[in-house]
Amino acid sequence: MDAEQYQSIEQQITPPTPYLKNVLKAFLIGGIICTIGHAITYFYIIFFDFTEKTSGNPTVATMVLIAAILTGLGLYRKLGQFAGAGSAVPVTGFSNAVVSAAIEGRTEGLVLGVGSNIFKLAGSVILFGVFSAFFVALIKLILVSLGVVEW
Amino acid sequence: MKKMALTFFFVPFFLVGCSSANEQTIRIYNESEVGGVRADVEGVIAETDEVYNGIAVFVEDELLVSLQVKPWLAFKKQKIEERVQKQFDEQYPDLNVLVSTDFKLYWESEKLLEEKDQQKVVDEVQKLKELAKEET
Repeated sequence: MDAEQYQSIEQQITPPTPYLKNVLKAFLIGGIICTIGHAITYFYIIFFDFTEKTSGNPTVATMVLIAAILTGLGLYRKLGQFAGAGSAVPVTGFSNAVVSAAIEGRTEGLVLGVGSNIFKLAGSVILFGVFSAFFVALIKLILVSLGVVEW
Repeated sequence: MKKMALTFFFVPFFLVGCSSANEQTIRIYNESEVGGVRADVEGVIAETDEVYNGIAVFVEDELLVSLQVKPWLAFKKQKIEERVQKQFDEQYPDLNVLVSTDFKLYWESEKLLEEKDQQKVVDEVQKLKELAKEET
């Protein structure tokens, strides 16, 4: 059997990827996660002295904490299997990436295991997040100093 | 088939949010002695088409206007806020006016509408104005 034959057989056997179904699942679960986040925002606005502007930080912290606990209990993995990108794109996915990497490295010790593995997956998010924030701020600074836009 | 039926069963629940009345509601708490201002405030809010709910709390020389902007225009919130603020500032230069589209201020001023104790309202309005400045 040559490579081409193998490929055609492989394509025949592989079940088709249900793109539409996956997209719908991701949309629904991602939407539900965001709705929960919004409910937490309103919780902080109504019961504490947070405004719409300031309630973002505690909301993100709470969502990260919930996702971290769910990851520790092994429940977030099930959600991830079902929803795919729907559970990975919101901030809870970031938390899952950090915590699962930390759990993975636990056997190698606290410093070399957990310490060096914790940002294995999320490190790139932080790096490019900081980098793009810096870049956007730089562009805005240039535009403001040229007088095109205001702060 | 069963799944499909279940999906269609839930459709009305999702669409129910679209059916609410689209009329503007404006409520005003007025304990101030300045006469005739009430109608003016109501007029300014009514003129702003982007707003669907407005509450104006008016005590001593403090005026707190909290607005709820239509959901699709949420990204223009700040501009609407600035425009209405300017309008009020020009109309009442001797009043301490704050216009806000923040939900927190709307929620709290809704509670103030029922409040009888005027001093309490003044304190609360000042507290809310401080809160609106908070950045962190």
